[in-house]
Amino acid sequence: MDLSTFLQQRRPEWRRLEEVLERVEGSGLSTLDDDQAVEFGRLYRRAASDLNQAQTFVSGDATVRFLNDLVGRAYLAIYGKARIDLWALLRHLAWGYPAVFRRYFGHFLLATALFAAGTLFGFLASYFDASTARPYLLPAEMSMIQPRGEGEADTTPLMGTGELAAFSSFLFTNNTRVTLLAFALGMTLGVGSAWMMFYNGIITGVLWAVFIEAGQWRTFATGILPHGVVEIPAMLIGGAAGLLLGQGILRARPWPRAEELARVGKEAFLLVSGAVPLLVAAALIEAGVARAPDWFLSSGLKLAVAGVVGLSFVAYVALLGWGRRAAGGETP
Amino acid sequence: MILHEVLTTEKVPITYRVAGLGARSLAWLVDLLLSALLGLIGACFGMVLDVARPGLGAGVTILWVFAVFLGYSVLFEWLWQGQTPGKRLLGVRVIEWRGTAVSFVASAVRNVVRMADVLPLGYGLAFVVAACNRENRRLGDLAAGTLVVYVERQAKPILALHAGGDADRARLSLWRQRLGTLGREQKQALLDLCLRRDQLRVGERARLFRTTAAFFQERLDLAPDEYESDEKFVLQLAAALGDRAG
Repeated sequence: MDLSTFLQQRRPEWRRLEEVLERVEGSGLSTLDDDQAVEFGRLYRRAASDLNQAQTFVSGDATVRFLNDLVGRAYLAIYGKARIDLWALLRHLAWGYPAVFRRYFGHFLLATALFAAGTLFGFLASYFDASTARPYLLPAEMSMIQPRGEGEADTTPLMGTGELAAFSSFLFTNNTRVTLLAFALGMTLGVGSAWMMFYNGIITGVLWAVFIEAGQWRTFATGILPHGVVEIPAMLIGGAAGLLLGQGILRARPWPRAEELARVGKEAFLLVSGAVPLLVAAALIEAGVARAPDWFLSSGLKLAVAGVVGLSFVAYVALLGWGRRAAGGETP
Repeated sequence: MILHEVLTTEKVPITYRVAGLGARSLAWLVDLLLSALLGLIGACFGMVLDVARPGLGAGVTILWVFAVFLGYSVLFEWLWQGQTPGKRLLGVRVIEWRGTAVSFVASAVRNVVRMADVLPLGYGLAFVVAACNRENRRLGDLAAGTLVVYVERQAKPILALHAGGDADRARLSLWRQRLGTLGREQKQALLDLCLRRDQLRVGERARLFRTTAAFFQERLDLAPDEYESDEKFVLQLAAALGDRAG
């Protein structure tokens, strides 16, 4: 076709599409009424077809560029934006997430094994060679965690609600950062995530040995278990997501690696996102229960809380969400 | 310039221009300043609250700063179709690999994986990885299946045709008649030159228009007005050609 005829005929519609597009880009698709929406779709398809035609028959480079940009903008405005539905989100948390968790249970077990290995190593090192292991393995700010002296009473004052809020927000943000970092480090072929699991295990093991040595295993258990039963799994979930990401890079598939990584990335994010509510619960329990002075909450009560919380977590991931397809893509 | 080609659902190929690292770094700098400002505002509010209720203000501040740190980019990219204020200023936007607008999950993935990108120091990993692939994608982009492209809206070539179209009617009809004798390729070349003239450097532009004007003067036996520049002459020819069918 002759370029000038082509331009002449199609120009008004392109102009119109530009106008509508300006509006959509400014204030969104929802501001169009029904007729305008239909018109927008029609104009877009016509422009796309014009672009196709221009690419084939017209050698006018600038025209193709112009149409390309126009169609590109319209394409972005029309496709690929899903609305977030709060109700669907809640439904996903209740039923979808446990299924996602079970789908990647193997990764979770691997993260757990790394953590356990770290714990064992830390414990043994700290127990048998305390003077070397403790200064080297513990981060500097943790050296202050010490068992109380013999017969010393717990005199820590009870925290007010304000302090409780501050402390639990601190714990939540800190743990969430660690969990998300474990996921993000999956991009180092999973090595970073694996190391984080192992290292967190080491810290736990070293501290464990410190308290065992002082004969205070009960203090250690009550101080760590009430929140640890959800906090540690949450962190392990972060590690599992990281390992999944690493696997996505390493594993050979019949399709390009970049595609596989993008697919796995979304799955892994789905997996790690479920750790956030767990971390909220863990932070509240840690600030309110585990760190509460002994004269306020007896250690038996703390252990009971740990039991209940731990059982509810297991029940959540093991019992819910069977029999319906979980959200997110199935592994092909 | 690196192009990224996608196939729309209508099976029409469109190309996006991949954004350079410079534009992206500047956009990031703007966003950094803005989010620091947001964090500061929250901190001020928290300090006031802390006076009224010790501890609560600190808690709110901690949560707010964390929310800004994680949520700023995700929220903007999701609501503004792949743009944050910084990206909007620099004219870049995040799109999915297949050319559609970035989804919430993809934006969340690319911004959470940023935590790995900033390692070991000042986006070191991100720069190395981005330099090693064709589309300048950092780790977050790879994990999310996204890339950053320039927003295209500078092209208005159709309007350019009318820049010089004020020839009088009799002359126009004569011109049209003569122009009708041109071959398709010659017409095309004429239009292309006019459409793309803004992309040419001054010297080349002048030279090309001089040659073109000379060629068409001879070929069509037309003379430009007195004091009319070569470029203006050629533009009027193109305008007459563009109006021919109408």
